[in-house]
Amino acid sequence: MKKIRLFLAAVILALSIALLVWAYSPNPRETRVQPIAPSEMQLP
Amino acid sequence: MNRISIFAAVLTLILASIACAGSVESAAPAPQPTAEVVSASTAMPAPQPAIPETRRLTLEFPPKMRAGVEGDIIRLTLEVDELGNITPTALVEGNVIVGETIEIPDLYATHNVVAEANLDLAGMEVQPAEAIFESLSRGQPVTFYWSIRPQEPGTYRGTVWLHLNFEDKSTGEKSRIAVSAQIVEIEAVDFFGLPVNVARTSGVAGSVIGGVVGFPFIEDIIKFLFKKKKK
Repeated sequence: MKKIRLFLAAVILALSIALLVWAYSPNPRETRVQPIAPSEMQLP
Repeated sequence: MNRISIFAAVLTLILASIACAGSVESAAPAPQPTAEVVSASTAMPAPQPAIPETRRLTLEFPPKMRAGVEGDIIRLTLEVDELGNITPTALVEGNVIVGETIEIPDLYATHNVVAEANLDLAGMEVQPAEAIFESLSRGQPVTFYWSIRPQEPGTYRGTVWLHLNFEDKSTGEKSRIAVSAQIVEIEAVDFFGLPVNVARTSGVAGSVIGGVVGFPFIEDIIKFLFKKKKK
């Protein structure tokens, strides 16, 4: 009985921690850099 | 026979004179093309006023995010590229370098420049939804922020637009150019069908339940660990 209870507690804890990690982890970021020459910023 | 020889001599004379005339024409200096070159050089258009600095456009966005209540930020920065004005030049000893300075009129001196950014992202909640305007001045960066929030999981595609608006300081004449249009793709996900707020609540509740269920065994676990250390 003790072993089953311990196993159940471990499973619930593992599942809960997995949920918390997924829910609170920061989103991945993508950065794009584009150089703009003065010729691209002149009067039409 | 005599007539034929006279005819041949006349024909030879005519051909020789034509040939000489042609060679004289080709040898003579032709003033016409020179005049054309001069007129072409004087007719060169004056350079258009431009912003006298190279800039760098940086777009930062989350390619993957959680759907539901949570939001994220998209950032667009137009900053001055400090190394952008350096022109790399290779110098070889002994070579003569002839250069010509072309002065491009400074657009900041003659116009008010306003950067306009817009985010078109169909199906997602975007704040602000309308275009954002920021005044652009010499050496100063401008940054635009949008708050995005996908309600449903899925893939959302959109475009980040950057325009420059020019207003002539003397005449008030306005003009607008598109500088950049970047396509963004954002994937909104959930946890096996669970929205993010449900996942967070379940995570907290599960941790508490797991702790309570496992609590009576903490003493046993500590004893077990200490026994292992002693051995």
